[in-house]
Amino acid sequence: MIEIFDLAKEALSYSFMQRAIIVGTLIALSSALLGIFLVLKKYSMIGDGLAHVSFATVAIAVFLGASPLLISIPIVTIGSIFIMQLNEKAGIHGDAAIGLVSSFSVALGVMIASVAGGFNIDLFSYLFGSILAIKESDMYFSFILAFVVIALIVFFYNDLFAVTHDEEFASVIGIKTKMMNYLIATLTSITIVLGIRVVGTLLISSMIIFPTVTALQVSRSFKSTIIISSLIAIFSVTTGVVTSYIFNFPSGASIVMVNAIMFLIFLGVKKLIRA
Amino acid sequence: MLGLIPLEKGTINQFGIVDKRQDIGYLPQVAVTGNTLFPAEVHEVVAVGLLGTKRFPKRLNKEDDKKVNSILKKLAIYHLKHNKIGDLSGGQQQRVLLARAMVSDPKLLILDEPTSALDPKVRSEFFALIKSINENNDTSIILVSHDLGSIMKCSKKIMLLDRELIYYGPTDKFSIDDSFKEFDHFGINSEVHIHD
Repeated sequence: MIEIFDLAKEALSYSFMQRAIIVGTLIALSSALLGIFLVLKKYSMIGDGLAHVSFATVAIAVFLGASPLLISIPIVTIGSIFIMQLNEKAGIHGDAAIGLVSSFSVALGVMIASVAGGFNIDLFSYLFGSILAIKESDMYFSFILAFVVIALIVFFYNDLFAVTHDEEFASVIGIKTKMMNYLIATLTSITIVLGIRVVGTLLISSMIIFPTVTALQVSRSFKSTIIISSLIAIFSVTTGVVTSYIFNFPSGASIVMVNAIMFLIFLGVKKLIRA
Repeated sequence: MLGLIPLEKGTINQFGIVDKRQDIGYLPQVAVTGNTLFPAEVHEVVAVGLLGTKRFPKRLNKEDDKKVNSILKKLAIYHLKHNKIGDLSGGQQQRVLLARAMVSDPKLLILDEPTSALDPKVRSEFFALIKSINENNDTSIILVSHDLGSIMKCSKKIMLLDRELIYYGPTDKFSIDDSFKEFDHFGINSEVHIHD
């Protein structure tokens, strides 16, 4: 046991670990904050869909030798707006719209990767994330973007709550519901692109869904759901990253595992409270 | 009138009683939500009714909290303030959403099928409540309903629509014709007129 603590202490002394925890925490916080709106609006899987879009954009970036973040953010944002347009204008259900855009993007990504000469290490690292390999420049960029995402959610908290709870009523009292939906979509896109660095395209939707669903097990008010889910998200990332160092597990998968364990614990707590 | 559907033609003239959107309180049809999982306490839902009057960044202050408390007391649901909305009964949820519609002290209340999901006892309580709001608060009410029987008892004017206008006038001059299965109704002390 003492050995584990020593290892944890040792882990935290490395600057690459510190970077991983800082970036991971910020992204976990943004995903958890967005997660509550997405889960309650039944758009949970948009994270998964957009992660697949970002797989394609990373493939393009690797192919062009450009920065994956700079290429991905605008294209993924367009992807999210396109999903909403398909839903609103073409009358396709949200889940189906996500499915269309998502599978198209993976196909596109695979094609580009094959033209570029197959999957290389770079592209593969984006599938499962590589939080320990985050560079200092990436860290500052993530820091700024995550800060913007969190600030906007705090500023628009009441509007977002109104739109999530009852969109029709929100529109009657003059809240710009469309703008709020696009705000959520844009912020989600940015968060996803930042997040694929942490847990990878295949696991990023867990960062959005798990903390909220876990918090929903015990919460009553909207505010308490947000606070609990944020704490769970931060705890899961920190514990996940440190655990991955101690036991030499992949970091992205460890974060998701901690999230899953938290969910089971909260589910049990809820059963106990009800009983 | 609520701005949900763009006008096809003509203008809406609300005769001076409504000059801002904030002056309208709205109770939607699918009020009794089947979504019992939504995490929101009663006071959080009611406070949304105050956001229409606010500018960015929309913050709620102590004053707003007082308004929420007073409307909850008026509708006799203050004891439910910290309950989760999904845990309430249909009639209670309906009152919460009525509180949300009324918390900004609107001059006109638009109720869309407010009682369609309620059982008869709760329904008649609800109509009594609306009637007292109309008489005590000087609030005009437009009520859309299919429930002709209940409405005849408490409304002052009726507008009957079955694809086209069939009747518009005082309730006491209106006689029920069985062929009218569907109708809309211009409610209690309505001063609102729609012009094409």
